[in-house]
Amino acid sequence: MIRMIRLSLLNCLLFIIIAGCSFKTVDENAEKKYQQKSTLETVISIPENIKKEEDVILNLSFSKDKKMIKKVDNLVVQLWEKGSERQLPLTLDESSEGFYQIKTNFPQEGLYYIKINARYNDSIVMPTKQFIVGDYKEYDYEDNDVVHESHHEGHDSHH
Amino acid sequence: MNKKKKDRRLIYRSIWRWHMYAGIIIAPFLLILAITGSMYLFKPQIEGFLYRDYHNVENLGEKLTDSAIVSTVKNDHPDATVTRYRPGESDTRSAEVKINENGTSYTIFVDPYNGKIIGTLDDQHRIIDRVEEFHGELMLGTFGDWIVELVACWTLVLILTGLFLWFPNKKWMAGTFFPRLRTHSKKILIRDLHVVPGFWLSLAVLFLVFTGLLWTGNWGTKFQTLTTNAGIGYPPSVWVGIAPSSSLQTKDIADVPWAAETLEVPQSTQNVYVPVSIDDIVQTTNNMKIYPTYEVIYPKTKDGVYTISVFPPKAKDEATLHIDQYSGEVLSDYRYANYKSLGKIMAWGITVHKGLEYGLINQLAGLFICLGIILLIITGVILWWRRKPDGHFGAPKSISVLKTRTVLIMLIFCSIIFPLFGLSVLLLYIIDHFIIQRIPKINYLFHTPIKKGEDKK
Repeated sequence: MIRMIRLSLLNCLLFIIIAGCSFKTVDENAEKKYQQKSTLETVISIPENIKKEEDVILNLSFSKDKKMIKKVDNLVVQLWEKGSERQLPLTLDESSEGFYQIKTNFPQEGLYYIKINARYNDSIVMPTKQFIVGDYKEYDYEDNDVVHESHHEGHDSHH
Repeated sequence: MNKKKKDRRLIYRSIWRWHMYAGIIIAPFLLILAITGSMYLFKPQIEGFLYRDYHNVENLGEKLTDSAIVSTVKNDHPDATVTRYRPGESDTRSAEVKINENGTSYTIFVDPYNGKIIGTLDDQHRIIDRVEEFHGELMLGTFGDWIVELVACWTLVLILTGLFLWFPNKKWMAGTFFPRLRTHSKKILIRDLHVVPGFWLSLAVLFLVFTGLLWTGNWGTKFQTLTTNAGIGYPPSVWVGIAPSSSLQTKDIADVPWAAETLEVPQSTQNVYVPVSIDDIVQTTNNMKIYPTYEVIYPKTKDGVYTISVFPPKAKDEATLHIDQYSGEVLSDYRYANYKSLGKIMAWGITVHKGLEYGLINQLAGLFICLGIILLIITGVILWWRRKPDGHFGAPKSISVLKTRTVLIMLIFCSIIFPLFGLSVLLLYIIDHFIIQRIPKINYLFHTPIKKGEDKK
C-alpha cells in the first residue's frame, strides 16, 4: 500500500514537472482574444535616378488590412534637403482613387528627405524617407541622424 | 484513547511538524522579504527625498524640444547609447535620459528649460532598486528568484498548517481571537503573540503571497502565459508574449517597470525609412492621453519599435504602447481597459502589493503586515527554541505523511499548482530517506527516537 502511494506520489510529481514546462510560450493567436489594431501601410515610390532641375513625380499610396485606401482623412507632405531648413515647393494631386502624385523639382544634387503625415480613421503615420538626387554620394544611406527636428510644419496639405 | 481521537492527534502532530520545519527553513528568507518589502513600500517617498535635487526644476516658461534634450545628453556622452527617455510629468519635473555607457546604465537628469544636466546617477547605485532586487531575487539572479518562489509556496504551507493548528477546539475567545496579554505565563503570552496575529494576518499574507508569486520568473511567468493564452489575463506583450507582428523583445533594451520586463515588441514594417524623431514619438504619446509619468524605451535594433510604458500608482492608469520607429504609427495600445477580468484583478493586486493603489493608507497597511510577519517569525522561533531539547530539533513526533491521507492530498494538490514546491518536497523526501535516516546522528537530530508500538516517521 505504502509502495503504491509512493509510486503515485512520484508519478504526480513527474506529471507536474512535465506539465509545468508546457506553459512557456504564448500562442500566436492569443492577441485575437484582446483588442487588436490594424496598421496603416504607406508606400512612397521614388524613381531610382533623379536628376537635378528635372520635373519628378513621386507616388504615394496607402492601405489598411491589405485593402487600398481610396482617400485618407488628412495628408501633409514635406520635402527638404539635408541640412536645409527650407522646404521645397511641391504639388500634390490624386492621380486616381487611392494614388497620390507629388510633383516637384530638385534645384541641386544632394541628399533629400520626404516626410508624410497622414491620418485615416484612428491611424496616424509620419514616415520619412531619404533619397539621393544626382550623383551625390558623400552621404551614407545608413546615416540616420535626427533629420527632421525643424520640419514639423507642412507646406502642402490635402484634406 | 479511541481510534478517531488518536488519528486526529496524529494528523495534528504531523501538521505541527510540517509547520515547524517549514517555519525554521523559510524564517530567514521571510524575514528578508518582510524587511525589504517594508522599505520598498515607501519607494516614492524615499526616491523623492534622495533625488529631490535631480527631480525638481524651476518653471522657466517654454521647454526645449525632446530631441534637443536627448541631444544634450548625447553630446555629453558621445559613446553612450540612449536606451530610455522620460519627458517628465509636470512643469517642475526634470527630464530623464537613460543611457548605456560601456555596459553601465546611467540616468541623466536634464533641466528641460535650458538643457543643463543637473545630475547623473549610476543605476547600480539606486538604493531602492537594490532593495527591490533583494526582495525579488535575494540578489542571486534566477536562483534567488526560485528561492523567493519557494519561500512564497512554503509560506502558503505555513498559513494553511498554521490555520489548522489555530482552529479552536474550545470556544474561548482569549488565545483564539485576541491574545492574553495579562497572563503571567510567558509561554502563553508568546504562544498567543504567534497564534492570534497569525490568524488575523493570514488573509493579508495570503494576498501578498499570491500577488508576489506573479512576479516570479518561473511560476509567475507560466501563470501569466496560461491566462494570456486563455484570453482571461493581460494582453500579449504587457507581461508575457508578443505584440502584433512581433518577434523582438524589449527585455534587453532597458530597465522597464516590472510588469513589462519580458515585453516583446512588434516589428517595424518599413525598414527602408528613416526613424522618426523622439519629438514625434512624444507628441504621438501625448495625443494618446497616457498617464504623464510614462517612459519611452528606444528600439534596440533596426527593426525594433519604441515602447511607451507606464505603470502609475493606480492600476487603471497603466498603459503599454508600441510605436513603429519608421512610420510613427501606434502598433498596439494596451490599457487597463484592454486587460481581461483576471488581468485587471492581477494589475490591481500588484499595485496594492506595492502599496501604491490607495496611497499612504495602502503603504501603512503594507508596513503593518510586514511588521506582523516579523512578529510571527520572532515569536515562532522563540516558541520553537523554548521547547527544543538539546541535540534535537524538537519536532513533534508524528507518523509519515504518506500515511495521513489529508496531509498527503493537500501536499499533492499544492504540488500540482506549484511545481517548484512539489520538487522541493520531493528533494526533501529524497534527503530524508537516503541521507538523514541512514546516518544515526543526523537521524536523531530530526527524528524522535522510536518507542515500541509507536509509528515511526
